[in-house]
Amino acid sequence: MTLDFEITPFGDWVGIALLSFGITVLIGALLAAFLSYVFCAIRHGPIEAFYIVGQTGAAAIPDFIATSPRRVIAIARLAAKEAMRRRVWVSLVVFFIVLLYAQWFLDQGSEHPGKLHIAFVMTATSYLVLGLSLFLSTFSLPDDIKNRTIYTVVTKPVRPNEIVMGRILGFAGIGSLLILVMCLASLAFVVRGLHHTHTLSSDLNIILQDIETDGFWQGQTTFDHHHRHSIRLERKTIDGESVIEGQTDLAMGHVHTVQVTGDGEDARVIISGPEDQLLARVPMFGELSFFARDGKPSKEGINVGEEWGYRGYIEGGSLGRFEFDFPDVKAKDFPDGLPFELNISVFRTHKGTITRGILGTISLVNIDPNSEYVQSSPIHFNATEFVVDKKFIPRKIGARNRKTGEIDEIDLFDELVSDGKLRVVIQCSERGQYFGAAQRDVYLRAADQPFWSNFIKGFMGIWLQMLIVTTLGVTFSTLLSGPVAMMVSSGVIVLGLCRGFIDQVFGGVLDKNNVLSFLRGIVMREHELEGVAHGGGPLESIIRIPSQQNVMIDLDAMPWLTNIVQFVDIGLMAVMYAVANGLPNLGRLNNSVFVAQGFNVDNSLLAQQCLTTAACCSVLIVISYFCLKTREIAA
Amino acid sequence: MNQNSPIIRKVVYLSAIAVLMLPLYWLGQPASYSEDRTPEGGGQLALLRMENQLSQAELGEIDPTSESMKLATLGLRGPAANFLWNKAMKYQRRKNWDALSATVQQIIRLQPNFLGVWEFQSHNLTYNVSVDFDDYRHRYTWVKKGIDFLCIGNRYNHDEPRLLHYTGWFIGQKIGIADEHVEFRELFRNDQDYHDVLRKAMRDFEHDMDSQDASGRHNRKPDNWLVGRLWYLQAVRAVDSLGKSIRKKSPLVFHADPAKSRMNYADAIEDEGHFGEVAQNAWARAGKEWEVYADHPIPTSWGMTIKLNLADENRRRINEIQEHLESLVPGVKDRIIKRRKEDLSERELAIWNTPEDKQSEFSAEDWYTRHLVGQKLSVSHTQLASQAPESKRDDVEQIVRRLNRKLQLSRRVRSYRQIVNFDYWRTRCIVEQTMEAAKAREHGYKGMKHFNEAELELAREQFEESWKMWLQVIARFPQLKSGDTRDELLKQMQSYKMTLTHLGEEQPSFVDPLEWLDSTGPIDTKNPPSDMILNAGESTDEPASSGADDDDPPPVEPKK
Repeated sequence: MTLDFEITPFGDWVGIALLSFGITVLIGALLAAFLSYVFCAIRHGPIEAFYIVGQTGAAAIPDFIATSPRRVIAIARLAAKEAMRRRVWVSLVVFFIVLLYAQWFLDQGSEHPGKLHIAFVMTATSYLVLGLSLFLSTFSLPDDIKNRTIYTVVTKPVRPNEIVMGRILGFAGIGSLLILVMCLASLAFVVRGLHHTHTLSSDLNIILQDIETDGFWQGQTTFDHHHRHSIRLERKTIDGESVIEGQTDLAMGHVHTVQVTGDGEDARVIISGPEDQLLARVPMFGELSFFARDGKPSKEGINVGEEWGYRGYIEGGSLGRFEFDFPDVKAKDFPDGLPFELNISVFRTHKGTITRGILGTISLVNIDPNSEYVQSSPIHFNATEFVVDKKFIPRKIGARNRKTGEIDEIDLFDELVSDGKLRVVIQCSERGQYFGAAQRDVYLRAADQPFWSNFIKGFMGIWLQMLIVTTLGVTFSTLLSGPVAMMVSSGVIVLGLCRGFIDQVFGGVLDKNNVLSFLRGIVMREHELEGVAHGGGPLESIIRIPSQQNVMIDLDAMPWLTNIVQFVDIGLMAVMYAVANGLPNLGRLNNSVFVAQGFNVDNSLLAQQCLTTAACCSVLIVISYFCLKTREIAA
Repeated sequence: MNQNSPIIRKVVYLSAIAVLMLPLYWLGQPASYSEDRTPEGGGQLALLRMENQLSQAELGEIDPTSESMKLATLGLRGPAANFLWNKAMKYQRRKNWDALSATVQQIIRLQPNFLGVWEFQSHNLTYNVSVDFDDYRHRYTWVKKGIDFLCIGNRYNHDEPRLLHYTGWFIGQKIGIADEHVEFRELFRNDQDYHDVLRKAMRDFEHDMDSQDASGRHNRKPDNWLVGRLWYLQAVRAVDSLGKSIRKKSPLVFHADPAKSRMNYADAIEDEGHFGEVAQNAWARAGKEWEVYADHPIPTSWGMTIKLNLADENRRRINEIQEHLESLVPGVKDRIIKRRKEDLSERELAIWNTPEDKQSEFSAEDWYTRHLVGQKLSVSHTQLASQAPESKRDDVEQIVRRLNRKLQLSRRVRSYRQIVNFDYWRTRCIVEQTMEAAKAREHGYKGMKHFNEAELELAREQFEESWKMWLQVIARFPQLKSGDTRDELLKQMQSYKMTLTHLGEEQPSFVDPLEWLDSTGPIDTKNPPSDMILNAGESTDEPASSGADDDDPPPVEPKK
């Protein structure tokens, strides 16, 4: 249950993003103009080249301004028809076959089947749609040129940008339709696939008898869908009516509500479907600070030797603590109290008591040191790892009055929240044991969105990926033949998806070079890498793999060969690094992690993704315009 | 060009195809089966597959999921498995357990007959992932996931002794010895849903989950040690009856595990407070199975097959041969020793002749000298043979060669017995069936219970009763002063001493157990050393043991 990356608010992000986009476009445009000029100068001489480049560039402006939506739509319709002729529906058939047999491939005994189901359908959709978009977009234009059917279009008064935009629109429309169908089918698959119910393992008469005599019944449900639940039923009075009700324990990430209705022979048990499984929680995160054992602020928590440095730890039985500062806690959002959800990690240096969790405390602290009540009485809890630990703190809680020294019952919003700001302090109570947490491990569950809307937002990510892939494919197809465009586009997409790995390898090859090793630090900082990859670049790997050399030792080859190999590797990796980082990170458009883990896809994130995609597609359209305009189609 | 050339070319091609079909048919003809589904013929490749048991049907269950995944990788199953393996490691590092579990399931579907994958990943889930959880119930869930994983592995790889043995090991050792073994054993005992899973996995076993052998006699519920033992037995069956290989696993340890499981079960129920007939019967069964193990042929690293029980028989034969040898060369050995003694210096002779009770005054140098003198005076059988008269020399040399072979075998059997601590466990099985040992354990258990509940007076009483009984037991079986029993007693002793400290008593009122355990030799319970017995307790009519050879314990029958 971890979201290990930050989401910057859209307002903070957009300014920096536009600035960096503007600079990149300007540099790219100047570079492209210069290269075009050099190319033309070789063919036509320096003066002529100047005019050609100038005229081509200047012509682009009226072409784009005068773009006719009618013509674009007409070409889009043609592209869509072409796509249909290419039997794109086959991908839908494949998708349905995959869904039919999906249960074979899913881990039936998983503790969180919801996560697996969601991740599976989104990955399957993503692979199918992206593959199909790539195929359609890269082969269409080259085939038209090859078959000379393009003449039927270019002989009409149609601008190159209209041809490009029309094709992108047509293919994207078909892709969108496919995604829509797949999204609905996936939603049905997930909801139906996870739906189940149980029956109680005891006879209802015995249950009723137990409740009459003891006031409650404790037992189990039947074993269905690879699990069973424990349940305690008791008689409650709801709205003046006496009902027998209970909720099961958490198993496989969900609970069921059980009710007994009717009396005597008419009594029957109603067990709900799985609850708390398909969620879209809207979390409110705080700002985390670590404090060391002596109570002094620390930049990061203690490292307990975990390879993954995501969480920092604090020592138990000391002044070490986590402080989460929540910026905007309002009574109107939480009228009854604060619904916290925790995912505290535990590290034991001794066994302690195995049968219970490590004890800890939660305190609510007023950030105003002059307030009458500085902090609430500590709320004790047992840490539970790898499950969402829900802690509801009611509005009325105990806190010590600074002046009287008495513990009074206070309203936390009146006495502990200052200007919407609230500090939550978490400490580990047991000496020799440690608590671990990261920024996103403690949050307030501000609200819940409908799951279906979150699911659609998840598919929005795939849709945006499809738009970029389609545009990329069309762009390459204006310049290259179909198969080559397909290969190049695939290569670029793979580079984009493996961006993290390429950054690590680039950092690794830089590290080996005495002159350029300083760049390694810059690359690592820029991409927040945990470490570099060992073993060198592509050429070095070609030597290491057949000779079975460990990646951690220096390359065992002649010194001159090693130098050449490592030098060439730097060049190759620099190109890959530039390409991978020149494109939007397709991985960051993947929202499945939010949907699968039950968090609402943040609208701010979605807006950033949309704007990034729009910017990327715009640049690619401009590039493809110039490519098509300068191409001698008749040849 | 001739107009007929295309036709001729086509005819040539078709003929070539027809000719090539013959070797293809000879090679690739599918296997044919008799009415009882036993393979009886087919193409050369099919025959080779049958001969080496390589076909999927012979290796294990054919799973459509696995087959479709293998097909979908278009022959790139190696790279795909490698990629997934890396992903699994990444998920583990990032504690994404659901994804790890799902990825591992995908890997095994790609490589269902690669045993290393099953062994590594099951160990990973059971031992590495489980301990990442703080809640012992979650840990238990992941231990089960690892065992489930092996159960699936056994389905894909029928009668594979290593996998069967691993499954038994995880069910027995991981559940029975982990830090949380008390909780794990309790969870396992009552986990009926998991019993169903194991029941399905063990349905083809000779003794399945519903047999008496799987359940404890005291509660009639499945016990992890006994269920683990059934898996070991299945592994042994695969080796003994089907001739399957255990590869690099030591056969000595492999065949010992079923009996050791019975001992662990007996030990575990005593730890849980079940004494008397139930525990004694459990030890009796364990002892019986240990003797079965001792008679089981064990392949050795020098190419011979031995039985651990050979040691007793072998020693008798060696004694007989030695007597026979000495009868062939009467008085020769004494003459050689006498001659060598004459060559010793006065100091050496004095040291050699020092009586045993005076040897305690020896310095380190004196001990070394005595050791060297011992070497000088020892007469090898070859030296003895060289002194035999010409007429008997051939016979004597033959006997000496035979004797040396027997001695070498004896040494090797002894070393094998030491590896599995054979004699200790044999003795332990006998001892634990005696009333004294049962009482000693019961009192010790009650003492610990009172100690944990801070009832110190009661704890002391129980501990001291326990020590009295142990004194009698160890007097009869001094071998127990080493090994697991010693460790257990030391643990109990620590609590006893703490009890005394809390009661304000500096000295134990009955016996200082540490001194007692550290003392050498047996203790005469009728006349215990005065420095050891502070307040004489009960004694039994049992005679004290005269001491035993560590290699060959005295054959002591359990009390009826």
